[in-house]
Amino acid sequence: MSITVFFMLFMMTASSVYLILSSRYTDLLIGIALLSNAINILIMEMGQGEGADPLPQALILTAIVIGFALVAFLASYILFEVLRHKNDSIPTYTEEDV
Amino acid sequence: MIEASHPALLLVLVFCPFLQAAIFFSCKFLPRKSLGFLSTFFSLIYFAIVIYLTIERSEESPFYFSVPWVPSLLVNFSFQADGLSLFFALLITGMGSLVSFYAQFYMNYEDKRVRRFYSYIGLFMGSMLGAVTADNFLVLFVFWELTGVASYLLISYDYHLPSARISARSAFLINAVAALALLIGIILVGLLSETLELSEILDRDTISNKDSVWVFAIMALLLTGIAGKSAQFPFHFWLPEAMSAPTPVSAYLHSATMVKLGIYLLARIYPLFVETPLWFPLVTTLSMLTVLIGGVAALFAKKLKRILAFATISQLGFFISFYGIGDPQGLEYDYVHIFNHALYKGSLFMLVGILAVTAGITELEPARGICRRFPLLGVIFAVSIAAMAGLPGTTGFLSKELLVRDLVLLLETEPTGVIVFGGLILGLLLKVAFSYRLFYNLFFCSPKKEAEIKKAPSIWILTPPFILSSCALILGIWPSGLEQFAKAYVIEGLHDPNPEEIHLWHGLSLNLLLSLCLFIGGVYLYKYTRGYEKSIHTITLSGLADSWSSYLEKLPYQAGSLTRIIHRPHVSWHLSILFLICSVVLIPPLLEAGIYFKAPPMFTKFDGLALSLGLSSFLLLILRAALDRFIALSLSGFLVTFYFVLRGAPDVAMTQMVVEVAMLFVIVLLFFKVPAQQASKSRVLRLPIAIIFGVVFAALPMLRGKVEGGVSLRNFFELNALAVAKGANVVNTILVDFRGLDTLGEVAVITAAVFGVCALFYSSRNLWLKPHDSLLPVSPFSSVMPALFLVGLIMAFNLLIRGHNAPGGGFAGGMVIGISLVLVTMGIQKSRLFILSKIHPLTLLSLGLLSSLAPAYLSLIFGGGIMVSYFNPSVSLFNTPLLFDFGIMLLVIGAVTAIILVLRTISLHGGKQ
Repeated sequence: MSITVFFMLFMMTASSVYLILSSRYTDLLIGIALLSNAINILIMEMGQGEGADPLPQALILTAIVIGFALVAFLASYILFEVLRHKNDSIPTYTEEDV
Repeated sequence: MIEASHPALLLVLVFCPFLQAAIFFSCKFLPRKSLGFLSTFFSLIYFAIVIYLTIERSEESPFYFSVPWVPSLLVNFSFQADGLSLFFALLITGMGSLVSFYAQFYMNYEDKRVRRFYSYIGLFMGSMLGAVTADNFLVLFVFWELTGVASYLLISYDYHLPSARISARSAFLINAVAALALLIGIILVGLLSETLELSEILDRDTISNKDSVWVFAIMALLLTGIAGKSAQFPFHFWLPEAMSAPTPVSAYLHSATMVKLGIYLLARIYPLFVETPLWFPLVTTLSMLTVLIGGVAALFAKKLKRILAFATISQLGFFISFYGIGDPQGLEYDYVHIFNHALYKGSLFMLVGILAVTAGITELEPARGICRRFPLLGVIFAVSIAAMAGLPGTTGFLSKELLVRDLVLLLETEPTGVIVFGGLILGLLLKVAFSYRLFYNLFFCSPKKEAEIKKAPSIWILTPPFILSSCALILGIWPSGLEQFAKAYVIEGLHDPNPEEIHLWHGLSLNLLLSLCLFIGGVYLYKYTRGYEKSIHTITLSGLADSWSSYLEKLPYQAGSLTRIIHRPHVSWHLSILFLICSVVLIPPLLEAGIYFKAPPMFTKFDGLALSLGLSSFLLLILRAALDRFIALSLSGFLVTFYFVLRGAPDVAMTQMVVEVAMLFVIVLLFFKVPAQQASKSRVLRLPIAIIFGVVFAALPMLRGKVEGGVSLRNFFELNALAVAKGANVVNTILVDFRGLDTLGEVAVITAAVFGVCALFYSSRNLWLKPHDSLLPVSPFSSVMPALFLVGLIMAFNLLIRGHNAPGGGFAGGMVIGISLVLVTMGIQKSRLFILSKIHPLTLLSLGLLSSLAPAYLSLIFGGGIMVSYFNPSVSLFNTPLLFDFGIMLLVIGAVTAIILVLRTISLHGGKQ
């Protein structure tokens, strides 16, 4: 692993965590999409030996597909929330909800 | 290894009471009127078994039964009955029979709940027998707690009364708290001695390092548990509370048996700890405090049952003291004290209960002089009180003489013994005083007004107390009988094998003088304190009980405030905790791996790509317009595609690319409705968390060398891909063949996500485009679209067919078709949609799931197992992996079109379907 790959992974993960911790659904969506890409790259980096190893590739292939399904569902949910509340802030729970 | 003998009888003893409880509870055809007799009958059978085992007993081969349960946690399902166990079992079954018989006449059998009552009694008896015969410490603990449960159910028998519910809860929780200490102690014993079998712990002398701090901790924890169960200070206050239970329960659980379970455990662990220096001061202090508190309270309490409860507390203190001052050579006649107490206290409780049912008397004052009106009741009362006070001619006298003898002996041997001597002698004085108080009031005082007697006590209900007090009387004047009885249960380690004989008459000695002084002193003590009875009626030591129950009341609110501190009402708080924990857990292995970390090469072929990916991620943070951010996201997704290309993973790159295209559709459609973005406010300190997690995460590849086993797996797949799965594309063979089941799970997840999307909007019906809704201008593109779709179709099938040997596969193919289909429906007029308008995306999806399931079972037909691939030798295209891949393709087409079209419809029509 080179310094630049470290930088790339760091930037992707830190940005995605920063976005996931936001109070907006769209930030959350972008954060999760980015994080799933970062994790796929991490799996690839960890599986690096001499030449291409098929096992991590198969794992990533599965991860990409499931990531897409997840993001698609999240996008629909955000659309649902936006249509209801006219904005995309993640609600805080009231005392009764707790 | 101990040889097993009579395991069956032992098991009958432990489990039949539970069976009995279940039968009483569920068999409604048993008439309620007969339940007391049935319970008596069963208890007598158990009693007979115990007697038989006592006769058969030999020191060499105790009755033993063991089945391994969780050996790795030292838990075995083992039972052993030695003398100590059998003595307690005798008490439990004997008192059980008498109490069941008594309850037959005491309980109102017209009440439906009476079925439950006898059921609980059976439950309790089984738990007690289990607890005293369990050989495994944890099994003992389970039964120990079960007795608490039975006690809880019986105290709250009158659950319609709030006071009964509160008392039951209070008693149960105080026992549970003490039992937690016991559990910790047991676990420590297990850790220290590597066995939880009581017989082995005692035999091996494993806790040998007597001055270790752990031994002291274990001792203190076990004693806490014992103090809880046996109502010792400071847990004593639950016992008077427990008097809300029906009187048979008070007689059985709360005086004769359950409260003595602590004494049983104390006797069990006595050989382990008796030589520990702190044993004597700890146990005697505990006992003295309890004796004095119980004695004083019994002298002033008003309710009859409470007087007896405090007397019981005081007596339990005496039992404990007996083990505290005990000789390391072995005890003498501890059974005599316990047996004596069961006789007189059981009898007294039953008599008090008779007063309650026949005359409605529950307090001492209305009961004045009552015994003069019922001669038989009076005689039994008198004998029981005499045994309590320790008058000559009763077992109580013998018990007290033995205690006084031990105390005098202690005075000579132990320098600090004088404190214990003084405390316990004062306790004995109090005992005489409260006994005299009871006697004086019941016999000599004349009542203020005649109590209204509903009915005279029947001869039958008087039988059990009569039997008990006769035993106290007969054995009291026949000491050698009592001696033989006690000797039958002597066990090695705990008891002195050759105790002194018990005599009725020791001659004129200092001890006798002391006893005489005690009697006179006790009577005068009562005379002196009598005047204060009215003013000190509150001295029931209810302070502790009150603060405990108010603590219990407050507990939910305190839990609420704690929750408000830990639990913040927004999800980012929980996520930050999650990220932080992840980082913290990963830091130590990373630091360890960092030692072996070699400096990386300065320049690699990834540098440019890595820098642009990193920067495009940063773009997502600074861009605010929704469209800009989505484009940046898409950009980073396509850059990831290039990363996979550079890494030599064409399958992954291809999949990533088609997914990015589909994702572009999703986010563009989302963008239509999302309002303009302001910089979002943060509810947590997200920048530091993001940086910490980012650093830890990015450093993870350093752990790579530490993961073992990866190489052999890789070799396996590369060797077998062509040979077994007949495919040159190893990644594809893993997906559709080796790990086909995983892929099946994955497509099931996609199906779930699609149905989730549709369910959100309740609109799976009208997904296809209306002509005027087109995203793209209709005219110039509409004629090209079908051709475009055809190209996509050909490309997709090519991908599917070649997928097994070259980059491609059903998933990528499905994505291509799905995307082309979406494009076509967006650009074409409805009239020209021909066949597409007939097939619903969800139909495609379901068909796909079915046809990817089919190969799994098809291979069963062709002779393989489930999901074992079948290849037709003559037609190369006819094989199950291809069918499987085809199913996945259908499913993906359905999924992509469904998701995008739902989003499009909602986005354009605002959900108004």
